Amino acid sequence: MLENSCYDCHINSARNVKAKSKLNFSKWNDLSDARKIARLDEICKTLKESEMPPSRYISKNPDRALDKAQKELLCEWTEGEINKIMGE
Amino acid sequence: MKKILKILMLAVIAFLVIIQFFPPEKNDNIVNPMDDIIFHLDMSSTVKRNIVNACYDCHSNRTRYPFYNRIAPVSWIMARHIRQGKENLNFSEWGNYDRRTQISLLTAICDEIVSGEMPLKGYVMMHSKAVLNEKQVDEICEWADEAAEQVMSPAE
Repeated sequence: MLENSCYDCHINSARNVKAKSKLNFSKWNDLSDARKIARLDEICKTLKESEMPPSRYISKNPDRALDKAQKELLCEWTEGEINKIMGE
Repeated sequence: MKKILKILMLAVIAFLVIIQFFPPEKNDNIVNPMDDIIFHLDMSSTVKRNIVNACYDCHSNRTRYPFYNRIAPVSWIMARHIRQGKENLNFSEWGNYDRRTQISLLTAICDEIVSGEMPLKGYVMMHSKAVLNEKQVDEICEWADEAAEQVMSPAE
């Protein structure tokens, strides 16, 4: 799901500089634990608020859209990762 | 044509006069210092001063209002900025955030000032004290990173 819906803009080879500056999966391991938590939190938040993937991107690439169940699954994953990092 | 213009001008003036009678609620609340970020996290006096000057007007429970805030629609625009600012981050309520939110907010503070998104350009234009130079940005980021680590491992 992440590869399909996020990687076009959020990895090193992507052209979108602004998107990469906000979140770059290629540099994930360089982030501090605190930043990983913040990014994971933001991933779930932007998915839930339908800010991401952007509607303009989805209208051009309808196969990249995420439905409600997929968003919930991703949020469950972010939640689990945050708990792991925080040792809870 | 001249008559229409005159009526339009009078309507605008009347509108501007009427809206003065509907001032927004002021952000002038009783602050519990024990909930403020300053009480919860160590910070140097320089970082504290810079954060207060650059952020607290929109991100705390007490705003230092300039004289022009008495004039609508400026007062309405400011009230909206303050409401949104406090929704995203309220330094006066820091103690009420859970650890996870505190960590996210601390990284966001650094990210926002590094990218130049904060403080808002319009605000900085009117508040010279809110301008953060590169050194001040670095100091705040260094503090925010350390503080986030401190929140991550409170026992240490």
